[in-house]
Parts: sequence; C-alpha cells; structure tokens
Amino acid sequence: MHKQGRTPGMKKAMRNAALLGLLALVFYVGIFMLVKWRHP
Amino acid sequence: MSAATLDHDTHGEHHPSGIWRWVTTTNHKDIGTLYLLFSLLMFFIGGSFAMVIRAELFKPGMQLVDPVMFNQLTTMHALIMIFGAIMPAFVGLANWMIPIMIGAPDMALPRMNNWSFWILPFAFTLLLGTLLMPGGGPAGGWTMYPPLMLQTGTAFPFVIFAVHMMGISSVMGAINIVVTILNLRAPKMTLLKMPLFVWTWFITAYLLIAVMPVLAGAVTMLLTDKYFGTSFFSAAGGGDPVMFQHIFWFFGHPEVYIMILPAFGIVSEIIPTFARKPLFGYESMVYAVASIAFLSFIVWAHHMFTVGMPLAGELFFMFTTMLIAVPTGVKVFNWTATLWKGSITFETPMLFALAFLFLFTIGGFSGVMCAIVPADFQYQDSYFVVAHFHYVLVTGAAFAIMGAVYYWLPKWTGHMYNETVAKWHFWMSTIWVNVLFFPQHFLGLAGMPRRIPDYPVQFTDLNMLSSIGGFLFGASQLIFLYVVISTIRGGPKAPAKPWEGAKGLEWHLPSPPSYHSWTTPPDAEVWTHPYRD
Repeated sequence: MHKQGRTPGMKKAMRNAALLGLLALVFYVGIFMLVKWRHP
Repeated sequence: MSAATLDHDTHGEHHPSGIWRWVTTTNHKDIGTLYLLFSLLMFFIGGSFAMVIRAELFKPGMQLVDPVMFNQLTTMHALIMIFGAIMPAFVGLANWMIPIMIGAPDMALPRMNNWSFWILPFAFTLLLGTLLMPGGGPAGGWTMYPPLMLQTGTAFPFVIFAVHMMGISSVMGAINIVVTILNLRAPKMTLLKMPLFVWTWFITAYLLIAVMPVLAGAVTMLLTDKYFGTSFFSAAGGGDPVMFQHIFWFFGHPEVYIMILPAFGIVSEIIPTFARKPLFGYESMVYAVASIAFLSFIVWAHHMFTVGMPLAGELFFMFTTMLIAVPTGVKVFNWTATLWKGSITFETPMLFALAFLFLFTIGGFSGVMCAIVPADFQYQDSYFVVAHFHYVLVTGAAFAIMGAVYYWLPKWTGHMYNETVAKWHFWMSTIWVNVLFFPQHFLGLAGMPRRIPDYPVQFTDLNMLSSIGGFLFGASQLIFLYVVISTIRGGPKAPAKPWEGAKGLEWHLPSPPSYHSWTTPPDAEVWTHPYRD
C-alpha cells in the first residue's frame, strides 16, 4: 500500500516530468527568440 | 481470466471527509470527478452565453444586448467552452480512466495533479469576473488578435493572467499524463497493448506540452506590447501584427486536435464494445493518431489564407491540410469496418459514438472545403466556418464526451443510468444540434459574416431556424444534467462489467472501484489485449 500522495514509480516519473517541464520552457522561450529573430 | 472482479484493495479506503477531502485530495478518482463537475458547470455557463447569442440573432435588428456586449459574449463563449468545458472534461476522463485502464495505483504525480485542477476555478473566476470590470470583458474574439485585443479595457491584464493559469494547469496535467503512461503501466503492458483512449491521450499530452507555452508566449508579448513599451506586434514600432496570427495558430491548430484526439480514443473504446468485435486495425489507428498530431504542426496558416502570403505558402498549407484527411479517413474506415458484421446493440454510449461517426465526418468534409484556398476566400469569416467548427467540436468532441460519460458512469457511480431518459437526451440533442448548425452552412455561403449582432433581412429565416434549434439543444442538456445527478444519487446496482462486449482492465474492478485501486499491479494474465480476440 503506497502512502497518500505517493506512487511506486514516482522518483523516475519526477525526473521525466522535470524533463518535460524543461521542454515546455524551451517552447516558451523559443517563441520569443523566434519573434526577435524575425524583427531584430 | 474472464471478467471476474478483483476487489483486493479495500484496505485503502481511508480518506478525509467533507470539503477537505476535495480540496486536499491527491486521489485520481476524486480529481477526475472534480474536473468533470467543473467542466459540466462551465458547459452550462458557456451554453447560457450561446443562448443569449442565438436570442440576439433570432431576428434582424438589435434585441437584447448592445454590440460590445455581443462581442464579449462570443469571446467568452469560446474561451469558456474550449478551455473550461471541453479540455477539462477530457482531463477529467483521463484522470479517472487512465490509471485504472493501465493498472496503475494513481497518477504518477498526485500532488501536482491536485494543483493542476485547483488552478482552474481561480482562472475562470478571474476570466468571468472581467465581464463586471469597467469597459467590460475581452471582446476581440478568442483568437485575441492585436491591435483589436489591445483595445480591451481594465480587463486586459486579468484575461492574460487567466490564460496563463489555464496554460500552466494544462501543461502540468499533460506532463502528469505522459509520465503516468510511461512509468506506471502494468507489467507486460507494452505501448502497443495500451487501450486506444490511453494512446490518444498520450499523444494529446505531447501536443499540449508543445503548444500551450507558445500561446503563453504570444499573450505575454501582447501584455508587454500594451504595458511595457515593446512592439512585438505593433507596426508603428517595427513589429508585425500578422506575426501574432502565425504564433497564435501555431498553437491554435494543434489545439483543435487536442480537443478531438481524446474523442477518437473514446469512440475507439465504445464502438468495439457495442459491436462485440475487436477494433479493426489497432496499430493503424495508433499510427493515424500520431500522423494527425504531426501534421497538426504544419497546417496552421490555413486559418490565414486571406491575410496574404506567398503562393508557395498557400499551396503548402493547402496540401498539408488536405493530407490530414488521409489518417482521419483511415480512422473513419476502421470504425466502420469494426461495425461490419458486428452484433450491434444501440445503448446510449453507442448512439453517441455512431452520431459522432456521421456528424464529425460532416465537420471533417467542410474542413476539407475550407482547406481549398480559392474557395476559402469565400468561406473566410463567414457562418460556414462557424458551422464547420461547431460540427467538429459539438457533434465531435462534446458528443464523444457525453458518450464517454454514459459509458463509464456505471463504473464511476456503481449505478446504472436510466436508459430511456438517456435515449431521450441523445435523440433530442442529435435532432436539435443539426437544426442549430446545419442552416449555418447556407447562411455562410449566402454571405453572412460571423461575430455580428445584426444582419440583413434576407438571412432571417435560417437564423430563426438555427436559434430554435439552439434553444431546444440547450434545453435538451437539462435532461443530461438530470440523468447524471439521478445516477450519482442512486439507481439499479451496476455490475463490474455492465457492457457485455467490454474489454480492458477497468472492467476488472468493482463498480464503483475502491478508493485506491490496483495497489498491486494486475498480472498480465488478468487482462487480455482489449482489441484482439
């Protein structure tokens, strides 16, 4: 029985989630860079 | 093993009670319920805006609201229905069903799951609150094009903040879904053995992670253009307002698929169950969804043909858009082939799935018509487009959600819903939704523009017909509310597997499942591949 708010594969899942969060951040920052590149 | 119930998890029933259960919950079933109830509330709020819109358009001349209020209502109707009703409904279904379909004890990151949900009520209270601010709420359309959107009054920064909160909620929800599927599947459940609802959500979640930050970036730039002296989209300062449209639709087109891919997954669950046959072409369904998701990134400028772009650009976006019809056609073919020679019964979930098959396809066909550049010059910004995307989003996404609710309601509540009343809901919805939206094709072809509160007299008859359909479709949804509430409150006891032809792990749990299910992962022998005999 796992603790409330915890799951068995959580540690590995947290690492993957952090990577996906980073990917989202790249898209957010990337769109500013794209617009800046288009209109220097 | 057959559909024997595996109720070995009753020792984990303890949970807080009262309001704190819901505020502090990390349980995927509770959070799924919260998402679904929230989306139902938003469905009725967004729907009430639509009723006012249709009442205003019942006859020519100004009747109920002034033009500024009308524009606020169309903008809010779209924002509420897209971000408040359809998307949270799918996330709610994902929360409830994905863990129990893949044999996981919960979502992988339960605390983040709680946070993902509880951002939403604040975001939408803020958004709806802008209607009461000086100058009113946003009135520039859900697309928020500058410079029009920059004319919004005091409400502007609040709308931008609300959109950011919705984005953060969606991205966190999507990340949770991806890692749950990647890390918590039952032993021996390889990716190509997952149920299709899980597959479609897996791909949708990646779309969300890729495009919600793009929307957030675009609206952040709008904010800095208005308040911090930048000119990302201001021609006067060397910026380009058309650039906003490109960025918006780079988000906006995948967003359309975010709202339809999980619906494909739902239909792929329901049709095999009630046709009592395995889904035809499981792998090709998965590849079709992946192809649609990929193509959704390279079609965005078909929303902007009349804005002006090089001929090569128009041709590129026309052909890539038409290409989407190929994997979509594969899916429609496979659903039809699944029905072929099946032992079909017509319970309410199946009726909604079949209506989806016919009516979504109508929306798909009018989509291909809009993809043709010279024809689109005629359709652009007309009621034809309004008819097109409402066929996709109402008879597509919303019908699939209603089908899913009827399909899994016995599992969630432990009670069977009233089949007779549910069928009334289906037939009333299906008849009136067509009376509502089908005439809008003709209005658009005759030249009626969208987003207007008044129109020339020659459009009166079809607008009256459309409004009558709208009022009755709206009223029909009260039947849905009645069925859902009465099923939650009681009804005949539902067995673990209420549908004879259903396959998959969720039907191995009792109805309703215990608070913590699959605390020990199911053995591979327990579940059969849902799509093969």
